[in-house]
Amino acid sequence: MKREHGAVLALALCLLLPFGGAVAQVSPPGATLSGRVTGPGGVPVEGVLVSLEGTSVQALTNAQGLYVMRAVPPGPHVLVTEHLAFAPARVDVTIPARGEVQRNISLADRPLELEGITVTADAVSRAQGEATTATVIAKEAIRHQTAASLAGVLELLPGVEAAPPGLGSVQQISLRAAPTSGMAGSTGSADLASFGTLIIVDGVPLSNNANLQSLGSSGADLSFSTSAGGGVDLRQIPAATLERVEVIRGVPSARYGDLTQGAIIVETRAGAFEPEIRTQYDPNTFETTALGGWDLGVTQSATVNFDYSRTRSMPGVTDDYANRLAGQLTHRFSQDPASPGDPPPLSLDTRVDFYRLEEDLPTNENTRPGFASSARETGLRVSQRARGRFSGDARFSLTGAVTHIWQRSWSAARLVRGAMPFTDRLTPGRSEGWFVAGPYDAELTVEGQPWLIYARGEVEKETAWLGGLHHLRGGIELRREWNSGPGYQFDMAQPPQVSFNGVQGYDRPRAFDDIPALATSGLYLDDRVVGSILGDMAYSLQLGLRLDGLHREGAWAPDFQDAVLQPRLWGELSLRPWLRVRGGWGIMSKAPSQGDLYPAPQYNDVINVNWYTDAPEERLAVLTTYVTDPTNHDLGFSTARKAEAGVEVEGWGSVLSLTGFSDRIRSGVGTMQEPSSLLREYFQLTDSLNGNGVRPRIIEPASAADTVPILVNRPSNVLTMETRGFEVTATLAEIPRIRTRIQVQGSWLRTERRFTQPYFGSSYRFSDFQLSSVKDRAPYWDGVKEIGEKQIVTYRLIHHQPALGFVVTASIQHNVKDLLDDAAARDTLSFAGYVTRGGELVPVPGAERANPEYQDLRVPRGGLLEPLSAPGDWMLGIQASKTLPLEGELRFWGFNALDRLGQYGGAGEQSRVYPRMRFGVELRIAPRVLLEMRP
Amino acid sequence: MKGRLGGIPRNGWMVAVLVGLLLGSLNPPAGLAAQDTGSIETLSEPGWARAWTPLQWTAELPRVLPDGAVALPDLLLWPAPRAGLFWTAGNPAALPADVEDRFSTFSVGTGGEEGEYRRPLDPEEISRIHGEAMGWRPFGGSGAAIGRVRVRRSEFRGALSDYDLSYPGSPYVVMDTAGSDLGRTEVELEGAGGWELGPVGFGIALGYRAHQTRTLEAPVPRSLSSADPGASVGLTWRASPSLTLGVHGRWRNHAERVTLFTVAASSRVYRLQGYFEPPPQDLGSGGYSRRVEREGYAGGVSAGGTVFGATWAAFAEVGTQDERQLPSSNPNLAADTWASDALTVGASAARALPVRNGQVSLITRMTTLSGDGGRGDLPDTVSFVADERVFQAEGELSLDASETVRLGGRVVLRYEDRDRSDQLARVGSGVESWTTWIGVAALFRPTRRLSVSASVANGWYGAGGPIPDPTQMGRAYRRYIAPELALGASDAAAQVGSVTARWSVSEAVGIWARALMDRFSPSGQVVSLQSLPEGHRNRWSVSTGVSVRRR
Repeated sequence: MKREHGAVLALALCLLLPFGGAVAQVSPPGATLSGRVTGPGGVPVEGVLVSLEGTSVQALTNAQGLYVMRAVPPGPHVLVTEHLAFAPARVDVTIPARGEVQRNISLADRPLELEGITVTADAVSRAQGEATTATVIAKEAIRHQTAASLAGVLELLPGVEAAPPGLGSVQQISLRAAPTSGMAGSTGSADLASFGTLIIVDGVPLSNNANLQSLGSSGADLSFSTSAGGGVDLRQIPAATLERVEVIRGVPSARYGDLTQGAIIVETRAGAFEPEIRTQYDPNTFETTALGGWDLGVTQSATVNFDYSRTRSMPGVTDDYANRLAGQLTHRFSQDPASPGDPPPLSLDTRVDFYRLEEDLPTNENTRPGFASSARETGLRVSQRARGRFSGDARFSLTGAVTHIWQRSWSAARLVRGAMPFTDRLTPGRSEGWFVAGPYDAELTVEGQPWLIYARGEVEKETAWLGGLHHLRGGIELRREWNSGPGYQFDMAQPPQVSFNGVQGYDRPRAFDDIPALATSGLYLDDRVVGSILGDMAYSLQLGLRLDGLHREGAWAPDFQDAVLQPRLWGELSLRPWLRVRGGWGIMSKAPSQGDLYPAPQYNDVINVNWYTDAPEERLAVLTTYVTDPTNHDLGFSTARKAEAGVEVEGWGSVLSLTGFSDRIRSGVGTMQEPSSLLREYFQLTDSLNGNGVRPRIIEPASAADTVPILVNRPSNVLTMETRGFEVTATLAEIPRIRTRIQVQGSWLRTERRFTQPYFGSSYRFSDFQLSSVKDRAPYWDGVKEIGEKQIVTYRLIHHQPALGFVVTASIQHNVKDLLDDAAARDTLSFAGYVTRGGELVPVPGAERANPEYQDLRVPRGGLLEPLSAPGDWMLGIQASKTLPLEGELRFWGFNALDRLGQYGGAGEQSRVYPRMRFGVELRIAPRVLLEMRP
Repeated sequence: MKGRLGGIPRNGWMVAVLVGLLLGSLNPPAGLAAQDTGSIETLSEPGWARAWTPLQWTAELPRVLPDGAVALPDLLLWPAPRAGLFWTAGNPAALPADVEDRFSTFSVGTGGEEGEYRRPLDPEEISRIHGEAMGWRPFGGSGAAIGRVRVRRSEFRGALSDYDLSYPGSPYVVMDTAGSDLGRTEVELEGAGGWELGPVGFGIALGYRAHQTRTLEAPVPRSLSSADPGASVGLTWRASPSLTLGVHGRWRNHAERVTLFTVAASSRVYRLQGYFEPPPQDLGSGGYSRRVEREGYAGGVSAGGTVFGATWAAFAEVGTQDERQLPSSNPNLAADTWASDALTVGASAARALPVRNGQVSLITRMTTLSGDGGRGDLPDTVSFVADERVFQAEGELSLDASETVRLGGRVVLRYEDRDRSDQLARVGSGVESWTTWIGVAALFRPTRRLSVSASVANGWYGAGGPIPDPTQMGRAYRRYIAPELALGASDAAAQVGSVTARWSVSEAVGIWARALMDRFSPSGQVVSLQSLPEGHRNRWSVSTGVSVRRR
C-alpha cells in the first residue's frame, strides 16, 4: 500500500465515537405517517402500495384507502404510489423526529392528469440506501425531458448545459467540472471528469476502462469517433426505458468505488406495468420504444424493453444514419412475503441487456470523395441480483455480471504525402526500408473486445443502539476488465499517417489480447444512522470506510500496484422542521484505464539514409527503429478529496437548497512527456550516382552520428484538477390560480487543471527542434495551469392543467459567464530552463533568464495571453404534453425554441453561438387499449 | 387600370366567372386566407377555423399561387362556418362565448404538387406527408380551450430557395443556383384559452411554429431553420345580451437561419433585393449564412352579437412588422430592413335557416399594407416600397335536399392590388388581380353509418398591370424575378375536385377519408408575357382521420 491514510481513518473514527456518545442520550426515532389514497372523483382506492422512496418502509391501503406507516425515519422524503390501474404519484413529505404526519394522495388515470405531477428533478432527495442528498430524476420527469439517451436526462442537473438531442456523436457526462482549454495531446477536464463519473445500471457498473479504441500516442491522419480515454458513452442507455436516475454529485457512501467525480445510479423499468409504445420523431432522429411488464403467476414477472433509433450523421451532406438498437429482458422472482406489505424474503433479478451502436459514413463521390468511416459497438451484459433476508433484520445481496462489448472502428482516407523513407520493423534495430509516396488510400481498423466481470456481495442490517436507528452495511466488490480484440491494424505499406517527420514513428499494429487485465478489488463498511438529539432535532449520519486495491498485472493476487483507503462521512441535521444543514467529506479513487496502465509501445524511426532518385531500383532508405515501452509500473489510482456543505430551507410549499463544494483530484492520470534522446548515425554510400541503375550500399561503420531529442509519452499521476463551486436550487410553490410552478437552478463552477511536469510547447515547436540541425537546445516551461469558469442559471416554468391533461414546461438557460484562462506565466522570461539534444533538462534560475546567452530561449510560450470570456446570453427550451383519447399522449419539444443566435464577442471575448433550433414530437400509445377497442 | 410599361399588355383587372360543380365536401381548406397567416398551408381546416391563430402575420401579404381548395364547401367533417369575435377577429377572450360544443379531429395524409407553371423559387416538385390534430371544448363551467398541432414532412425537388416564405412582402430573399433536393420538417402548435367572469371575458392564445430544412444529399449543403412564436391576448365585455365589445393585441416573432456551404461542388448565391440586379456571390469555402429576424405587433377592436337570429362580428386591426436580415456570421454589420404597416378590417355573419336545416354564412376581410425596405450598405435610403391591398369575401349556403342528400354552394372573391417599386433600379410593378371561385358540394347518406360527398369548383384568375420589361433588365432579374411577375400578371384558370367518405363508428365518432385534385394553368385567351412559365401546376392530396363531435 503506497499511500497511507491512517491519519484520515483515525480522524473518521474520532468523529464516530463522540457522536455515538451524543446519540446515546436520545431515544430512537419513530414518527407515524398516515393518509388516504383516493382516485378520480375522490373514491378511496384499495391495494395501493405506498412506499417511502429510498427506504424499505411501505404500506398497502385498505378498503377505505387508508395507509399507515410506523417508525418512519425523520427527514425529507418522497412518498410514491404503485397501482396498475393508476398513474404513479410522488408526494413530498417531511417527517419529524417523532409524532404523527398525515398526507393524503390523489391518484389519476394518467400521469398528466395528476394534480402534483413531477416533471423536473427533485431538488433534494434521497438516493436509495443513502443518507447523502442526491438529485433524483423520476420516471415522469424523464418522460418530460427531451432526451434520446441518459445524457439528455442529466440536463436536469444544475450546471449541465442543454444540448440538442441525438445520437450522432459520443455523449459523456462531466459532473461538476467547467471546461478548461485543452492542450494538444492532454486530457481535457471534461474527459477526466467524465472518466471519473461512476455509472451504475441496475446494480452493475458500466465501464470504459478497457476501451482501447484510440489512435495511439502518435495519432494518425485518419479519424473516427471514440469514447476511449473518457467516460462511458451514454448513447448506449436509451432514455425511454429509464425508471429512475439518482445522481450523487457530492460524497457518496463507501458502497461506491471507482469514481472521482460522482455517481449516477440508473434503474430501468422492471416488474409488471402497462405495455406502451412510444415513437419520437424530429428532423434528424427517429426513435421508437416498446416496453411492457407482465406478471407470470404470483411470484414471477417479466419485462421486455426494446428501443430502436436512427439519427442523421451528417444532415444536409449525406443521407447516412447512426443507428442504435437496445433491448433488455428482465425476469424477477419474488418469494411470497409472510404478510402483505412486507418485503419478499428472497428476490432474484435476472437481466440481459443488449445494445448496438453503428454509424457508417461510406465514401460519396459527390460529397465526401475519398473519405469513409464506420464505427460499430455491440454490448451484451448478463447480470443476476439476489436479495434476501437472513433471520432477523439482516439482509444480503449478491450481484454478479458479465459484460462483453465488441467494438470495431474503421476509417479510410486518401492521404497525400511526399516520398518518405518508411519501415515496418517491429523490433529495435537498423534495417533497409522503402519509400512511400501519396496519394494513396489508407485504411485503419481498430477492433476491441472489452470484457468486464463484476461481483459484489453485501450484507446489511438495521438495528437500534446508542439511541439511533442504524443501518449497517458491509461488502466486497471485485472487478476484472480486459480486452480480447485483435487490436490496431492497417496495411503497413499504406500507413494511416503522413505526418512522419523522420524521427517520430507511427503506431504499429498492436493486438489487444496480449495486454494484461485490469483487476481491482474493494472492501467497504458503512453505517447510516438516523435519530434525534437535543429534543426534536433529527439527524442523519453516514460514516464509511472503503479500501480499493489495484492488482499488479491483472492478477487477483494480493500483489497490489496501488491501494487507497477512503474514509467518507456525511451528516445532516434538521435544526427546525423547515431548516436542514448538511455536510460531507470523503476520499474517492478511480482506477486508471487499461490503456493508461499498458500503453502501446512508442516507435521512433530515425532516418540514417534517404537516397531517393527517379529510378526506383536506385533508391535506398535505411532507418533505425527504436521501441520504447512507456509503461509506468508505479501508475496508481487517481484520488479525489471531496467536501461539501449545504443548507435547505423548506416552507410554504417551496424548497431552497444551497450547496457549496470543493473537489480536488490529485494524482490524476495524465500523460507525462519525458525528454530522452536517440542516436542517429550517418553513413556514406557506395555507387551513389544517379542513373547508374544500381542501388547503393552503406559503408560501415557510420561516418558520423548525433543525437535526436524525443519525448516519451508516459502515463503518470501528474494531473491535478480542482473544482470549487456553488449550486442552488429553488422550487417554488405552485401558484394555484394559474397552476404554475417555477424552479430555479443555478451553478457556479471554477475548475483549475494543472500538470506537474515540464511543458515543451506545441508539438510543432518541439518537432522543429527535433529536426533542426542548428538548434542545440529548446526552452521548456513549468507545467500547465488552465482555468475554466462557468455560471449557469436555469429557470423552469411548469404550467399544468389536469382537467385537460396538459402540461407545458419552459426552460430558460441563462449562460451568465464562461471564462477560460491560462494562468501559467507566459512572458518571454517565463521559461524554466532548456532541454538539450541529448534529452537533458537544464533549469535556468529566474535571475539569469534575461542574460544574453539565453536569448534563443526567450520565445513566447503560446496559448491564451489573457482571460477569454464569452458574453452572457440565454436560450429557451419548451415542452408540451397532452393526453389523447384512448390513453394516448402527445408531446412536443423545442430546443432553443426561439432560435437564439447568441452573442458575438468583441475584442478579447469569445463568441457564444447557440446551436440551431431543434424540435420534435413524441406519440405514446397503449397497445392494450387499442386491442380492446370495439365499435 | 394601369398603363403599359415596356410592352406589357395592360389588361386592368379581370373578373372571371367560375362555374363549378361540387359534390360532397370535405376539404376544407385554408386557402388564401390561411396562407396569409404564414402557417403551413393546409388542406385540412376551413378558413374560418384559422382566423384565431396567434401565428398570423401582423403586416404581411405573401404572394401565393391560387389554391382552389378554398372554394370547396365542407358539409361532412366540419361544422358550418362560424362567426364571432373569436372565429372572425381572433380575440381569445371570446372563446367561451363562441365555443359551446366539443370537437376534435385527427388526420394523417399525403400530397404532392408538380408542374412547370410556377415561379422560379417554387420547387419543381413537392411531396408531403402530415399528421394533424385539432380540437376545441368548453371546460370548467366558464372556460373554453382550443388547440391544434400539426407535423409535416415535405420534400422539394429542384428548389432554389428554402425560405419559409418564398415571396413575402420583403424584397430580400436568398437563393442559390445548385437547386439541390431539400427535405423539410415542420411543426405547428397553437392553443388558446378563454374564461368568462360575469360580463368580462379574457383569453390568451399561444402558438409556436418551427421548421427545419436541409438538403437531402448535396455537394452544396443548405440548411435552414426557423422558429416562430406568437401570442395574442384579448378582453371582451358583454355590453348587452346581443352586443359584445372586444379588444385584442397580438405579437408575432420570426427567427431564421440560412446556411450554405460547399463540400464538393461550386454554386452561386444571389441575394434577391427587389428588381435591382443582384450580384452573384460564388460560394467559397467559408460558406454563406443569413439571419432573418422579424417581429410584429397588432392591436384591434371588435364588436359582435346577434341580430335577427344571425351571429355577426366585425373588427378592425392595425399591425406593424419589422424585419432585419444580416449575415449571421457577423451580426455587427448593418442589416437589410423591411418595415410594413397594415390595416385589416373584416366582418362575418352566420345563421341557421328555418327551413331544411339550412346554414348561411358570409365572411369578408380586407387588408391594406404599405412597406419600405432599406439596404444595409445604403444607410438612410429607402430602396424599395410596396403598397398592397387584398380583399376577400366568402359566402356559403348549405341545406338538406332530402333526408339523405345535402347540398352546398360557395362563392369566393379575392381582389389583390400590389404596387411594388424599386427605388434603386427605378422600375416598379403594379399587378392587379381578381380571383373568383364558385363551388358546389353534395352529400349523400346511402346508409345510416356511411356518408359520401363529392365536390368540384372552378375558378378564374384575372390579372394584369405593368411590370418591368425583362429585356431592359439584367440576367438574374430575367431568370429569377421576371417569371414571378409575369405569372402574377397573367390570366389563369383553375379546377378543383374532391371526394370524401365518412363512416360513423358511433354518433360522435367518425372515420373518414378524402382525396382532392387541384389544377392551375394559364388561361387560353391571355396575351403571353415574356418570361411567363408554360404548362400547368397540379396539386393532389389524400388524407384520412378520425373526428369526434359532441354537444
